[in-house]
Amino acid sequence: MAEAIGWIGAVLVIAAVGLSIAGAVGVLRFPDVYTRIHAASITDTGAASLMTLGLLLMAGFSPAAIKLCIVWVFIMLTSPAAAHALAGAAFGSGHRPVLADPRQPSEDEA
Amino acid sequence: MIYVPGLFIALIALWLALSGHGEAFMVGLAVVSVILSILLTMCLGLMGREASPYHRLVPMARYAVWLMGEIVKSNVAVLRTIIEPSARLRPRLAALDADGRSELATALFANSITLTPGTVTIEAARDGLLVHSLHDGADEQDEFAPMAARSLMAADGRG
Repeated sequence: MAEAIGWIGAVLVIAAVGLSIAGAVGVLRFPDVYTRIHAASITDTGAASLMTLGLLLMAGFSPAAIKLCIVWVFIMLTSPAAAHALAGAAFGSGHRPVLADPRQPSEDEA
Repeated sequence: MIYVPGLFIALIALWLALSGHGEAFMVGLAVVSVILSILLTMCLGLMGREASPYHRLVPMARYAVWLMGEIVKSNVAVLRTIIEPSARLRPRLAALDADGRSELATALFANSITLTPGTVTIEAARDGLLVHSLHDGADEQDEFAPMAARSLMAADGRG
């Protein structure tokens, strides 16, 4: 039983690796810095969560499991701050996003 | 002073969980270090409802569960945009209202938007947010309305 749970964990870790690769592909495919942040946020949220969940299943009931939970909470708290800082810095230094509707007002709104 | 026991319990629990030691000597060290941390918190003037936010624990937990579901949904949406060769991007900027919210509620709302793949908060101010999204929906205010209402409920306790 414990071995089966360990294998499920391993599958989740591999799925997380797949999501990370998809995030990297998105970063290469998307046109500008803002859309690329969206692609990278798949790695931040989906891949990081699946990875932690997989490692949790592999670790079983142990002190390492508590630490993994704390690590996950901190990833969830800090990664939006980093993404927001990146987007804010790009916007503040004058980069304007590529928009679907170019007539849309793009600045001095917020 | 009424916030000290709450903070003490949380810090001791964190210390024990991280160290995994239960011997009397080590627990004694834990108590000393936690007391020092609490004294430091008080000297810096940080002691208050936010240092020991037990009153928000249940609404925040409920909000976190809902947010997890949203994150899963938008992960799938962005993933499809990346791997489908025919998918087209329709990026858009939206200005959202944040009037009448506390700083905590605005921060929670802005961070929730950024944490959800496909939307990122570019600027967050007292009166509003500037949000970039990968896909444009029908109406920008409606699209974010559930998250706005729920984050306000979780942070400020009103809807």
